[in-house]
Amino acid sequence: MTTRAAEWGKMWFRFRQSTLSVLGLAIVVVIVGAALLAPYIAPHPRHAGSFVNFEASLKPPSRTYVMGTDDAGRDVLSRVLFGARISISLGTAVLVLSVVIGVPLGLVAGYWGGRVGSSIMRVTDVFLAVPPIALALAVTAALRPNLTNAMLAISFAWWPWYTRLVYGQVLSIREEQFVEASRGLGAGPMRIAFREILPNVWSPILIKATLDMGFVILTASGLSFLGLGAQPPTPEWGTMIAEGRNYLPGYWWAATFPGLAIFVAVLGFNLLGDGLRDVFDVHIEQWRTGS
Amino acid sequence: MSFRTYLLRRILHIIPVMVGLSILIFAISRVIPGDPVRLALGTEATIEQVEQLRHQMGLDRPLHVQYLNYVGGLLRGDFGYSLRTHRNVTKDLLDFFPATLELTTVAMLISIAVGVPLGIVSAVKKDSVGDHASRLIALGGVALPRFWLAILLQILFAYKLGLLPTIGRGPAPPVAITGLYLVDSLIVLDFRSFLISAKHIAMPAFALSVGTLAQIMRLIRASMIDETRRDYALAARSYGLPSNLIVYKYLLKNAFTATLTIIGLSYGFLLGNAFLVEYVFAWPGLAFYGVDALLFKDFNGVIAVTLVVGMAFALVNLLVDILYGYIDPRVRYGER
Amino acid sequence: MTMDRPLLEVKALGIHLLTYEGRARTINGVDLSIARGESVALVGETGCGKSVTAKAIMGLLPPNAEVVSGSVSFKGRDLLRLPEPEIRAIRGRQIAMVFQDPSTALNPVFTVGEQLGDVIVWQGAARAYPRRRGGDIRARSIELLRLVRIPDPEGMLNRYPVELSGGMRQRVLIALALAGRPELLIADELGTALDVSVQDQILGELTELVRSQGLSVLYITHNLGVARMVSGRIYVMYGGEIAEVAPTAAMFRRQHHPYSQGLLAAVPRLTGTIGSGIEGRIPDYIAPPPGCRFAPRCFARMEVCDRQPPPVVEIEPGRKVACYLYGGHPGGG
Repeated sequence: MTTRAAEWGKMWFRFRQSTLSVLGLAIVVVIVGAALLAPYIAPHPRHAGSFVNFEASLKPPSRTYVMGTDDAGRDVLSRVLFGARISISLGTAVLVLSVVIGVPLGLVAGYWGGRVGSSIMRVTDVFLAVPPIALALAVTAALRPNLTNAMLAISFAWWPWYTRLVYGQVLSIREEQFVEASRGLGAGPMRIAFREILPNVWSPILIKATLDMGFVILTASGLSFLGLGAQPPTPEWGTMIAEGRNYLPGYWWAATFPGLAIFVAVLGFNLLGDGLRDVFDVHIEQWRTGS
Repeated sequence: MSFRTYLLRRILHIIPVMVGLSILIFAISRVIPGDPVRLALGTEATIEQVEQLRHQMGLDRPLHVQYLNYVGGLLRGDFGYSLRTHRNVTKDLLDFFPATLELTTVAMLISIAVGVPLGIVSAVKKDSVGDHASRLIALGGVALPRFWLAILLQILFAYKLGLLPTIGRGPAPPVAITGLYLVDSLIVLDFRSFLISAKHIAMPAFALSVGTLAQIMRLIRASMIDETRRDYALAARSYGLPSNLIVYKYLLKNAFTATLTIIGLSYGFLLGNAFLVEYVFAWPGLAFYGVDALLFKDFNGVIAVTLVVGMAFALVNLLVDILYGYIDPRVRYGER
Repeated sequence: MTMDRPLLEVKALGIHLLTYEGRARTINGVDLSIARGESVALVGETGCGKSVTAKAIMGLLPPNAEVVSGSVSFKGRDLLRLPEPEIRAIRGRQIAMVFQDPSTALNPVFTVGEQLGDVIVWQGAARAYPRRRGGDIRARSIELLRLVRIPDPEGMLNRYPVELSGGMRQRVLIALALAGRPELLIADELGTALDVSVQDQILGELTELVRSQGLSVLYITHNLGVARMVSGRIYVMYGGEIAEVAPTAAMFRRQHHPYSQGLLAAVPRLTGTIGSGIEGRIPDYIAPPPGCRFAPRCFARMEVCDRQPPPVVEIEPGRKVACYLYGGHPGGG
């Protein structure tokens, strides 16, 4: 039996083997770093808010303004950095909400089953009947368009996916030997749910959450682009694209760099999620077969 | 349980889900903080006019009565009155739906037609330079914001190169049978009209397809590689069967069934992204109508669009399940 | 002279598998031969390398396998050195393999008729050769299904594997292997996935078939009972090497290699005490012992056994053992 530390070491080794996965990790680290440190590393931090300087309006990339300026004369680079802050915090909030709501529901539905279980899944099915973007959009119609409401709307659409994921996992593990053994020893349902089942379920959740981060960012920026999410002057990437769109193609930088930022961020999380999946999938098999 | 029973259960399952969805959306739409009636009539409207319209639309009734009225209307095929377009929403839906149907179908076809071959090639030439390159492109495709890509395409092909029209769907073909421009123009063999419609649909469909294309490619690749490891693949080789036969017939059919369910799910994401792509290209489809309804807070419009989207998604998934059962005999004969 | 030349001759075969943990020296100098019309059994426990040997003969080794030495002569040609198109011409038509697990060796999404038809048509050729008509293919398919004693062959053509019982599927697998009229059949753990009674029945039918068609067969099995029933000669394999080879009857009367003795003692009998097992585990192929690979588990272990691999000693014509107990100094006879 290898020790826990050795197991983690082995997984890290396997993770390192894939260049793409490491690249993903690097990108995520950079983005999260940018998000955390934005106020300190942005060259013109005040530009992230409602700042105007029409003399510097729509200047091309230069040494002072590495990514150029937008129509209000704000430094695009600083706004992109603060945009990372917004995207990451929004994404984290959405995922935390989704997991906190969705996972316990899935556990209950899967383990207890019966009437409770099927009612939960019925409700989940209703939410899942519509593509998440559509549902999030529909919800935004009922609320005032701002960042927080966008976050709530997306969470509203996102949590059922976790319920379904956990439900499926619990169903397949429920009948496994070690759960039976625990039950035979007299362990109560709560204990079984959290001690036996949850440890085997958290890795798919983690993988999904990592991959989802990218998709949530895409959805949020889409909402903002349509004007249903973050409002100007908030430097959300989608909002920035909507604003800068009018000045294409001549003044391309205002709309292009935010788009690139979204692309890189989503790519990073996808690569990282894929890498985690490669590492954990094998591990899951080992845990379950005991080899 | 037999396959027929399974299908029947699936079809019946859609009903309660749709009912639940209608309740959900209805409930959401009534939480509007603003006053849509006032918005529709404008700020000059008097209080009497607002009250009159509100009464006309039944908005002063209790919620559950409103809901029942609405469902009653639905069963008659009436989606209510749109405060924005001042028309019956049903009529609006009928006008706008074919455009979205055409766009999403073409996008799906592109995704499959390009994604599957690329996936096969990538799997067969595993770990080659081409494989790594296509995998990177696939990863990029999923990460690309669809609306951003749409804008870039617009700038490049329409604005700069002038090859394709910037926005819109273009003129309708002389006959309107299905409402799908491409199909209609082909039916009457009007190739000029076909070409014009094709040019209009090219960019939106492509922008919409990119993410799904990438997903399909990755999935086919993974499935094919999985299948190569199976015993029957080794057995087929041991009988001396040529590798082309093995790859394109034996492996592909198995890999495809694995991918089929995901294709159904991807359609959902395609529908979701249609809202953004239609908006950018001013494509006169259901999603575009939906965005307008959202911005205007025209709740009847919003509910109608959501329900139709939900229904379409459910139908596609059902179709996928039927197809799956048709291809994979294990499903038909009850073994899993 | 040509009558004396064996159909298949494996000489000093050495295969390494490159795995995550390192280079596994899986096959370490295997010698094996099969004459025309002969049924030979390759017996050994799981992990001894029997399947790898079989795959090497068919040219179906996994991509991480490296042949480091030896030859596999089939009708005078070294299969290891043939280019892929030529090997493919041999597969199915001259050497064919019957796989062990009928539930996974058949393609689930095609009917029996389609799969059989494909094999009949393509039979190891790059193009369908000779070009056959639909009617011919169907007739031949039915003929093959009859050969393996499948009732209602016409109906069977339209069935999917999922509809069939394990025994039926196994028969279909045999039919597929025989479609190309091969001269050598390799049966990899035939019937282990089936009920014992079904396995018995199929093995019996197969032996009869083999006899009537004059086929050579290599039976790979871990089951001594099966080996006794179907073969005329037995090779005992351990740790990637041949421990002992002898005609079947002689082998069961008396075993020379300690491992063979252990194998026979391990078989449970209806009378007497429960059979004893062999202590220990299969060798670590990545860092195998320098001497005899069985030495760590051997009750007759001597000092010389750990130092160098034992020589092969011919006890009588047709009986060979690789063990120091029967004489021989390291490196010699």
